[in-house]
Amino acid sequence: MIRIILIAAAFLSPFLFPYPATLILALVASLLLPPVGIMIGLLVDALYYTSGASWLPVGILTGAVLTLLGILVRRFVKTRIIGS
Amino acid sequence: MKTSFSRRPKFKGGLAVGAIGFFVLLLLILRFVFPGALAALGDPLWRMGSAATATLAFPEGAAAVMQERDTLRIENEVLLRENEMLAARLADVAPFDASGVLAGVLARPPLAPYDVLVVGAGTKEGVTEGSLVYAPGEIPIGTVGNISQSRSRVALYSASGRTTEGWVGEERIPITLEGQGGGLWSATVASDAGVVEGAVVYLPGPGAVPVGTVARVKTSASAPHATLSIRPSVNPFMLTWVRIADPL
Repeated sequence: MIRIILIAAAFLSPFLFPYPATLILALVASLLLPPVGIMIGLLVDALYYTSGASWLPVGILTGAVLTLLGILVRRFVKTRIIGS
Repeated sequence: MKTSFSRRPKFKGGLAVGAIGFFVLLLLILRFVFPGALAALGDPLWRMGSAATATLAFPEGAAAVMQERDTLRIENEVLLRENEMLAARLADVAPFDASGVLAGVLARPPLAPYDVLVVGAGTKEGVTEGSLVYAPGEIPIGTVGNISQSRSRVALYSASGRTTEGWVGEERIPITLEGQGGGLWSATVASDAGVVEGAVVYLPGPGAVPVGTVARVKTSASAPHATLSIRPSVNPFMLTWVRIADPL
């Protein structure tokens, strides 16, 4: 249940909360479900990206990093569990 | 029966890749085919967020703030008229132009991460790409980037890495303002230019429009130039409405 609430909050965050909060929620959600990071990045850029403000789609790039981080952390945790 | 020779489970990542693919496709369609749909979807949430922020930020109540806003708007109107009269008397300043579109701000930094404003006016209201955007007080703050039918994204001059030509001080020393994000700028001038903290920074508009002040002058004995940190006179975090006008 907490998992679903956190992921839902992460998706609503670009509409409601300042972007540092979105970043934190996306990070937590990515640890729970890695693809969420890049999805939130896509959502942020679809909502706010405009070429005049930045030449890099920072939202997508940050989301991709969070997703990779989520995958790595989950693999590491899995390895630790199997290892022990 | 499950044995140690059972087949390994199928690759589960396929589902995640499919979900991401679908999500990307959906967002691309929404962004490029129906640009208004995404903004319409966000509209009630943005309004809800603004209302929640207003309630938290102004414990005396939204009604009192709205009343104050209305009073300030009237005062602002009076000041605008006065400004118009004064501007007309100045030979080197172009007459004040009150045309354009007034638009409410739906999303602003820090909600929007790129120093971008989402405003409630689009092609339907006559907004065009590249239109100039002014904050209350006729202070130029940015240009219109992307537009949909009823929404526009405004890229602020203070967006990180964006450069804008302006002037500083009474001597109108030309400088290039570099956006630092969060409404802030920096610029470099020659160390012996005599720019001091508190000097006014101007941008081109109807004449030279004051847009901020020098908050800090960073100099080094070995460097021939000084770095200026510039604080804007308009706080983009607090903007509630803007005026959009065609480029000069």
